[in-house]
Amino acid sequence: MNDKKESYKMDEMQKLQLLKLEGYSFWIAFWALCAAVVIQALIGTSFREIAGEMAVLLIAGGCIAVSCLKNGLWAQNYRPSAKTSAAFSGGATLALGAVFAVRSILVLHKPIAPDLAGRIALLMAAAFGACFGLLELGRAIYKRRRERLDDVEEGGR
Amino acid sequence: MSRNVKIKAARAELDMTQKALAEAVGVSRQTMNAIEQGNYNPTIKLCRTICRVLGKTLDELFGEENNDER
Repeated sequence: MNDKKESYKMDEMQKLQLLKLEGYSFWIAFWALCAAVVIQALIGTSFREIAGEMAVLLIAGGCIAVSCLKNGLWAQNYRPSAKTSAAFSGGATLALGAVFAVRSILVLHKPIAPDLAGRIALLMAAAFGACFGLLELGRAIYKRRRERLDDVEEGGR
Repeated sequence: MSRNVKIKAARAELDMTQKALAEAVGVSRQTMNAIEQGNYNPTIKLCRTICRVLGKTLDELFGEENNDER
């Protein structure tokens, strides 16, 4: 019985390797799901039909964001700054605008009119505001959490 | 990371195979081989266990002159 239990015990290097593999797999699944949502939106699938995928994306993104903030972690390669938040919000907004424009004009065959351009611009402005606001809120929480985690007495937990 | 020949030498002194050392330490042979080849940096806890099994000090097995990263 004990031998069987022992044989399934992983050592520290194996645990680290498994953690790395799980990390890679998570991001592959996350971006693949993201791509699936974009592709479905581009081929004209209604948003109600892709609500499940979007909910999974939201849960996965929310979980990782909350866990990282709780542990005082930010992105690996980017410093937390308003400039970074603006750059990422801008990128996401442009991508969203492009998806909506392509979907509206090429798939749903809506006429190219100032009305459509106005709606897309409004959507992009709202998306940028929401994205930038969320990133800045996250940055403020991160800073406060970082300060709290670093403010420990020596020998304390 | 450079190879850790000190572990191999200490193992040879005790006439111990890599498999036997891995078992005594409680890790897989793959991990022990990675440590000896310098492909894995063990935690201080594992370093101390290896030292205890081989009867050496941390400095003797993992001292700076042994694991000098160049």
